[in-house]
Amino acid sequence: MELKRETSSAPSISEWISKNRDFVPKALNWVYGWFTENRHAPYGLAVMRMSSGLFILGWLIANIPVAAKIWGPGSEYLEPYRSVLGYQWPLDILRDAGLGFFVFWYVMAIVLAIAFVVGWQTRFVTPLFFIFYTAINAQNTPVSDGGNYFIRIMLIYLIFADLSKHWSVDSWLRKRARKTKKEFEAVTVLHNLALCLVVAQLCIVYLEAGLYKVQGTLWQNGTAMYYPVSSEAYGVFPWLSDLITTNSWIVALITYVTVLAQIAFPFMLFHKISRRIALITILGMHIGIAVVMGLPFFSGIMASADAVLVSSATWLTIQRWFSALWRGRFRAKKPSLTVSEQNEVGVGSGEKVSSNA
Amino acid sequence: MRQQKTKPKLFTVLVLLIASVAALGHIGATLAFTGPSTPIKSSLQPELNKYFLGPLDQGWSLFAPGPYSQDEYFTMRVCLSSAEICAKGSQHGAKFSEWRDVTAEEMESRAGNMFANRETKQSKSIHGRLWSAASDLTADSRAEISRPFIQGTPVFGVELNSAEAREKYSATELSNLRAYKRMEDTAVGFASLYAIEQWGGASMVEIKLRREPIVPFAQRSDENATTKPRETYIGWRDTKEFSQAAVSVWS
Repeated sequence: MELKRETSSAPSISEWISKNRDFVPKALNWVYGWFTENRHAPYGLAVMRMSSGLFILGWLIANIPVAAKIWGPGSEYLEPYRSVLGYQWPLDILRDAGLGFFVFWYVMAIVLAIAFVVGWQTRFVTPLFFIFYTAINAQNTPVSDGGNYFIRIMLIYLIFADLSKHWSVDSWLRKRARKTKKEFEAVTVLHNLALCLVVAQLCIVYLEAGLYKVQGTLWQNGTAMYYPVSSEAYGVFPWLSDLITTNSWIVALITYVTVLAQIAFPFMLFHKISRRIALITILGMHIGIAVVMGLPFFSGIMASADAVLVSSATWLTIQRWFSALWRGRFRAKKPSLTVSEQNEVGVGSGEKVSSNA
Repeated sequence: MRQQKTKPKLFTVLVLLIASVAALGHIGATLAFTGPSTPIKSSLQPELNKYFLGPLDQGWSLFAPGPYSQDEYFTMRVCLSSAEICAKGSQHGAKFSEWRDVTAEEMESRAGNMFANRETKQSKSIHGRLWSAASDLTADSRAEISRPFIQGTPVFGVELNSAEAREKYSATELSNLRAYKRMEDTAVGFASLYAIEQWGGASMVEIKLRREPIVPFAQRSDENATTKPRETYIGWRDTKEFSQAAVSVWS
């Protein structure tokens, strides 16, 4: 058979470059636009603010009876250990504090947690909350868990984010006074960079947790999950631990799904379907850790950051669902999106509220 | 790609550039710090460790590479007599308390309680750090920590910040000894306050760290399966003194 000679010219790199001469300026323009035009994930960040704030608040309240002993003057025995950890003023303010000052500090941390949850003056409250919460943790880092470390880092990033754009006292006050918030471009840039840092930190946590696990023999042979839940420290409900670990298939599947979900997490964020699968799997893993291993604050805090990966459209759909459920009890009125909400999710530009996640 | 409608503002571009470089640098440093030992990580030391001191400190090898696979117990007893009588032993009338499993006592309130407070983790968290600090010691130093160091005698028989210690030990050895000593002082301090809480005070404490491996997976259904506990023993030490504020919280 005779080969036909190609009439059209073969693809070449130089041709592609000449056709896409404006690729770099276009890309830079797109990056500039992404960082300056909108403050992204305003609802996701609001959910992260409320949920992580609630978990910290719960953690602070649960520890009230022992706080003076664990983080207050009673923690003085930790001085040889904590003196080399590098916490500087104001984060080391409690090291020589008496009981009165510690109690004041702890109460203030609770008040700030409440202000953070409701979204009141978040530009001022977030850095203060970080200082008050971290200073308490710095007193006794050995009793901290991954959640304590994680949220401390997240709070540093969140200082630069606009956390009260929606679902906050600040936004309610603005609406009531019919005021619109002037958004400075440079502040929008910092907000979006903070969001990128939150997502990057999340990816680092899951990816590294997964990669370290695959190096372990017990994770490789699919039995790792059995050990912590069978220990006294993490097997809070022995009957539940026994129930789960009796069947070797369940143990192996949970062990492998944990590792796969963690390693795959960053890569599954690129497509909305795989992102949904990743978020649901990770949420399931966190619920399991919270209940079976008795670590609700650790799991809750870690999972709360995942909220930024859920789109505004989905959060609004969830809000409407809850709202309908609530109103259905009192009157039959169908809730609808406000104009600002429609702009937020791009309803006018053809993006369906329920089609995004 | 969307086209930018307005001309980029110089100030915004500057903010974007500077903040992006800072953010990328931070994330790169986080990856290096939390990741395994690599030539990149080594070349960035000691600046990397300094940067992550304090609030940025982190590590994400959660339950890895080996999961938590043993129960850890901090056990202790004290000498209730004066230091002079305690030093002479029970044949001279020294009174000793019974051995107490502090971790088991603390964890009683955790059984069946997801929302248990952090007191349940206190002695266990000291155990973990002290055990690993002791594991980094040489066999000779490990044997030494089981000896009594009382009535002001420094542990290892030498002040670890002295010129004598620098002559006696290599730099790595000395660094491990100091890290161990910091944790031992913490553990002895904790035991001293626990003694105040339980017996109103003591002059000396003795500590035993016990680890009980979980029954292997293959034997989980065997009710008679047992594992061999391991121990790290820390000999008698003088109790530590604390401020009135600390004592009043524990009393």
